[in-house]
Amino acid sequence: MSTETPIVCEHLSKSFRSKKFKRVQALDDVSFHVLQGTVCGFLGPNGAGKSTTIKILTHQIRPQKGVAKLMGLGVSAPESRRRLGYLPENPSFHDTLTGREILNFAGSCHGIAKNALPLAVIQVLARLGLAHAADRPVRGYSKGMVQRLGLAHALIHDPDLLILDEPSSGLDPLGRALVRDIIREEKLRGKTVFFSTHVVSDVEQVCDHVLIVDQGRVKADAPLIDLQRQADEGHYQVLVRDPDGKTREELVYASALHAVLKKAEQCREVVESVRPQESALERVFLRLVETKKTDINM
Amino acid sequence: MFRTLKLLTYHELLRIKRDRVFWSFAGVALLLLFMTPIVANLSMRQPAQTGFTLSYSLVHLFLLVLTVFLGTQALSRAIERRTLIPVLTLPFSRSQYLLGAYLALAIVILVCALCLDSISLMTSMWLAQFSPIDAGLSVKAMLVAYAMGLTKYLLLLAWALFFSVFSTSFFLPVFGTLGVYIAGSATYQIVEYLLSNPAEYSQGFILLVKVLLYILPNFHAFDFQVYAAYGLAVPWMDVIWALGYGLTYSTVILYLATFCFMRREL
Ligand SMILES: Nc1ncnc2c1ncn2[C@@H]1O[C@H](COP(=O)(O)OP(=O)(O)OP(=O)(O)O)[C@@H](O)[C@H]1O
Ligand SMILES: [Mg+2]
Repeated sequence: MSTETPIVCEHLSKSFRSKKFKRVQALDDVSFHVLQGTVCGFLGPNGAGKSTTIKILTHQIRPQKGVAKLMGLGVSAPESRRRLGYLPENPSFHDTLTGREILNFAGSCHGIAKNALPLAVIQVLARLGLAHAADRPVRGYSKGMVQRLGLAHALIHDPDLLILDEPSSGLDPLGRALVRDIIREEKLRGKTVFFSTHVVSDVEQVCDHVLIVDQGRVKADAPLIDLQRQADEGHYQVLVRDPDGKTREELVYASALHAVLKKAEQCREVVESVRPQESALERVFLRLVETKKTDINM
Repeated sequence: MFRTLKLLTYHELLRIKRDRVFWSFAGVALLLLFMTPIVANLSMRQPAQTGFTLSYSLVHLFLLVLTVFLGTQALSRAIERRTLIPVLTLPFSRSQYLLGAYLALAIVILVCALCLDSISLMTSMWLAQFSPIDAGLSVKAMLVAYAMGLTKYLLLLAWALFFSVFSTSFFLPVFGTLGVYIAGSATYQIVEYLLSNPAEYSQGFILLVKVLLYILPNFHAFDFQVYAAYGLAVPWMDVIWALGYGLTYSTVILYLATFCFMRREL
């Protein structure tokens, strides 16, 4: 495995023409690094510029300004994608080909030897629960199956770096859990994962680093724990059962939680559950993104 | 490099093999081709010549349809349906992809031309058996005519890919390619008409017109059908010239297409 920083973005700016003479600034001076062996979650509201960043990293579009590098190589070099597994947002494949044919092609393009290829394909199909559909044309796949095939396409050559654009979009709860497991496994094997998502809880469960963008600007770039510490006070939902057997729900601030629990004990009530109302990361996320919204209104 | 090209070509071939539209085109062409002897026999005087001319034109019509269909589909439809994204983010360059696609399409056109031309050749020869007047039909010249016809469509294919690079709809590639075909086929007559009185024009003007003719391109350079039909001696210098012209021209267009494709946003 190379010792190069897997992802480097420096001062990326990108604008699209929307109407005549009007431009949308999709990225505005975006810089960040993803270090070897980390799982970095890429959070942002719709239209924040996540997919744009990822498209620049995979050389589908060019930034107007700035430099992007994968594994120490400029993204315009095809070799920069040699150790990369990439899942596009809503992937789409030639629909007359079968899942196996598509993976065969991707595997050989990544340089998997001919005799090792069939096994690699079967293994990755099985890992994503697609073994039964291997020889069906993709035309007959459901949305979630195509998404799974996209993940298989990204994983077929056992890449050192995974860039996934909304990996769990279109997946059932089992599939979402599978994606989290895959990300955890890849991390344990020393791989680097960079994935975009809207689902804050996914980020909290698997990431050790978080990058938040909004309106094309980086709003936060920090380890998960640091961000969670920054969260302001959250709410807790407390369920208590009084001696008569009636249950009652209370919504309390974190600072008041201790007092509420103590009081319940004094009244001989049973505390059934204490649940945080929203996660710490979610509060940070909402705060960072919301302050921005007021900016625009002015 | 060659491994990647081979893989890309194979991938593209597999895709075309599954294409139903392609097979229905081929079926119609075969059906019509097998009907040419019947029509040719209606011409009492020179059935073999008529048969050859007819089947030759038919094969060419099919190759034209095929070139436009395949060449414009290969990229623009893949871009429109976003099936190109997982392919182009594999570790090879866009120029390799374009070259691989060109090779695959060229192979398909070559194989179709081989099959259809051999049927055309066999039926013409079969018809010639019954008609002593047709003795002039020359196999050598027929083969040259077939080969040069193929070269013409490989050149047109480069144009089709070139238009396909810019567009996500079928409109520009299809009509652009057809436009090039029509211009390339018609210009020669216009130029001949214009220059029928060379004394009226300056040398510079004549040169300019000729250069333009070859840029457009000049499909007349690939037309050796007459030599075959009437058993005339094949002008080998013209054949070599046309081959060189076709090769250079296709290379230049493919190079331009690559240049634009590298800059295109997906
Ligand atoms: N090809 C394009 N042409 C014009 N505008 C574009 C294009 N691609 C993206 N944009 C604009 O750039 C901005 C960022 O888009 P992007 O797709 O990167 O968002 P995103 O963060 O991936 O959003 P989502 O969560 O909805 O996937 C949006 O305002 C979008 O309208
Ligand atoms: Mg997106």
